[in-house]
Amino acid sequence: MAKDDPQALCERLFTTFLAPLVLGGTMRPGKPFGGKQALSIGDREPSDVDLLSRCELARVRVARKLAPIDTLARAPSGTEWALAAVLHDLVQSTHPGFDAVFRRSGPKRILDVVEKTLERIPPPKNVGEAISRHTWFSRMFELARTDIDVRWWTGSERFLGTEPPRRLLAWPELRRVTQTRTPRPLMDLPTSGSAVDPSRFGSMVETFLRKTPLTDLATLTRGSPAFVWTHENLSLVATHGGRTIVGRALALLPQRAVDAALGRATKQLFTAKAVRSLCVAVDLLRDRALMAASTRLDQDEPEPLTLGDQNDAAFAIGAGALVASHWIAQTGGGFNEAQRRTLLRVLAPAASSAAAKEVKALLG
Amino acid sequence: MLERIALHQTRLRTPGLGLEGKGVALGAKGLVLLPSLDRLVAWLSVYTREHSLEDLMPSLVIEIVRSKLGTKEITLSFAAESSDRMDRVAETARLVGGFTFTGTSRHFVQYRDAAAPFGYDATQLISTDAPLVLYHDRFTQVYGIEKQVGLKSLLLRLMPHVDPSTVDDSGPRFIVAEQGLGPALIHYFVRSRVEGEVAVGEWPPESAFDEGPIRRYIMRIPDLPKRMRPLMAKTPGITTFLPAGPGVAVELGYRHPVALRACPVFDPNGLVLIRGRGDEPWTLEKMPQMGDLRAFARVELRGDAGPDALQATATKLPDPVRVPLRVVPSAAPWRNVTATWIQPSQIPLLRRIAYALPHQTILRTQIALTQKGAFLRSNHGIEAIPLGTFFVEIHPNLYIPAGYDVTPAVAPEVLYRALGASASQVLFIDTSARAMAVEESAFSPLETALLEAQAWEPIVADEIHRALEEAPVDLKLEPLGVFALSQVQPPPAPDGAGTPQLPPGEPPR
Repeated sequence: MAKDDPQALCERLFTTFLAPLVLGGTMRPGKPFGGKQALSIGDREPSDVDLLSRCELARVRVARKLAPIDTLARAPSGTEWALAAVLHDLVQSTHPGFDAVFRRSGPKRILDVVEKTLERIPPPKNVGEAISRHTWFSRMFELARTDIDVRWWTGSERFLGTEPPRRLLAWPELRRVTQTRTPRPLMDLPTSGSAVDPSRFGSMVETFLRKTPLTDLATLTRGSPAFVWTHENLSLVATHGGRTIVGRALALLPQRAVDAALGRATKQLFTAKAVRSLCVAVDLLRDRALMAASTRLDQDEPEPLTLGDQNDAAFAIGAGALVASHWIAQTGGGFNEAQRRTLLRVLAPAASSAAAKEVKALLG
Repeated sequence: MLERIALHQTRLRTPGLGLEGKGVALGAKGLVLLPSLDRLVAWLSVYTREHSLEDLMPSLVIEIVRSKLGTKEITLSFAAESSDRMDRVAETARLVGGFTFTGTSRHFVQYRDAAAPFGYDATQLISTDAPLVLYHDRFTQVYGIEKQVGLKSLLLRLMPHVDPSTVDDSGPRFIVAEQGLGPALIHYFVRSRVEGEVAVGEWPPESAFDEGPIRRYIMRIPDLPKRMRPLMAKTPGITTFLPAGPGVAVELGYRHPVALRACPVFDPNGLVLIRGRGDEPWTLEKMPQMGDLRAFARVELRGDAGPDALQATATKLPDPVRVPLRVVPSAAPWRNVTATWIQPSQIPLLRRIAYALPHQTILRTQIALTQKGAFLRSNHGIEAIPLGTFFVEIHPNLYIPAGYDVTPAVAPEVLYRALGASASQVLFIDTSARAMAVEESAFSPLETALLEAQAWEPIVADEIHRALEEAPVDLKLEPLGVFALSQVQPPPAPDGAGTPQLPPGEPPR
């Protein structure tokens, strides 16, 4: 049947969902794909070469913020097609059409299939693959549905992700028609007219982010799902190249919010006594503290690192400064004597703060 | 006797009076009452200055009417048709001291004015058998019709005014010459290469003593040379007429009081020549056959001593005649100066002038740098770059020095062909008749050739938020359809699923 033809599935997924996710514009998801079809697409290329070329341009633009890359694989790989189909189904599970009699079980069934499908998708094998996946899904939290509340003199009606009919908007002055447009981002969709369980949906998004760890880290300041250290994102940060890329991605975000998110996630590792994971996470904090301190090397009177009022952020900065101070003292870090002295002076207040003492105590 | 018509009033007393679409009272006819003939002429003169009488002509009637007191006045009646037409007529009538009325058969009421924008209606109708009753807010008068006046006869009776300015008017003319002067005048025109047509008109004898009809030569000259105009105007026996409309012309030096072009009363196939000084017009019911002036030129036969024609004994191609090209100074004004040749020694000067050149000049100019110097071209004129030898373009891609001509004076196409250049080459012929060819592709915009590349210092911006603006991802939902979950199936189990197990061991021996 045509609907099971993998090429047709690939075309539909690309034109209605994946290309708008990369380029922006109107996204019109269709019927949920399901796991069988998601995995059946394989390494295929859509026929719309022009759209594919524009996507490639946008993806290179995303990648070049992190690494000096000029080319990427033109078409998604099999796992990227599967991830796109999973995200498509996740979005469709929030469809308000399921909030009806005999249909309320639909979102649960979709999420069950999504969960099973995600189990079959491996995490990225290397940093290049992580970047490639990130270029496809970097804007997933920018995806938003516009809900329109239309009020007129005798009533009102809400349109979720659809345009109100023109008859309702006719004679706006006479009928006193007002429209209120409310954008609903991805994580608000379950609570806006949907029948899906919000906590299960959040958990599925979190599982999805495990498959694209660079996107997970590059969006760690998001509200929901809160950032946590996972095996996949720690694997990325554990490599030198991965840590550099992540450092650049985090530099694009508001620094206080990044420190707060990293501090909160790292604290969880401390409390769980996950020492091996902790070492990897602290390496990232160390690099960030060193990066912040080294930018002040050129100043005549370098200001010391400040911790701020937020506990989580202070924890991240303090832990980073403490580990960085030890690292410089032990290895020199490739800095000359004067630079080392300056760095230690900049890091010293943070490294001796209450938050750092807490870290020291936890490390025991 | 009159009352003003109010807004939305529907009933009117005057018979034949109705309300048109705009609410204005209007009968089938309009009528202008004029106190004298000169006012009628004034009305015609003013009206025809702006409008044509063509639309009025089918229904236009001019009558002399007499009141009970015995005074004679003139009425001009016509089909009213619309208030627009009536407004035009009334405006002209007001200017010349006439009154405008409207009605259908006998009773005519005053047409609307500023005091009554919708017109007037008569409160009391006069019971009379008179053919015309006029109701005005100042008077009510009964008239009898004395006689009708034809517009054409009126126009022919009007004496043209003296107007010497018409002597200098250009355009076609009719020249009427008396019979004795005709052949000499024709020969004069032919000799002077004046084009035109000629016919002979016949008029009945002026008195019983004349032997036969009077013949005159009528010539139509489309463009009489200026030097001949005084001669044609002042020579006795020759009368010049200027066409004043189809089928009518007025004598040179006079102007008819009415714009005859607006009065379509003359037959375009005939000819009416209106003369000044009070002379009667010359009328031709039908324009006679006209012939080309050259056909009437004087002919002479050579003597009949020799043979009729010399017959050639043999024919052959002429010997080739080739002469070298020369470029000679010319006094003709410079036109189409669009290129300049700047010698290598003057290139530094061009560099200095470049700083003073306006942007438009730099934008429109093209330059080709060769061993012989720089060639600059600009379709909008090269004078803005006051340097080098200026060239004019006499043929596409063929230039000669400005102020010079080529001899022999062959056509530019012939010269271009003789030089044998290809279409991609631009040819410049200098003052010593030496041709230089520059490839068209060698010309590049002066804008790009002018500026030297400057050393630049890279400056890195501190932060670039977004190199290119990204459109937001807007999720639009569509109905799920009946079988929304028909394709939602879990993935198939992987091959080789389950816990790997060792192969079964060999049984003990």
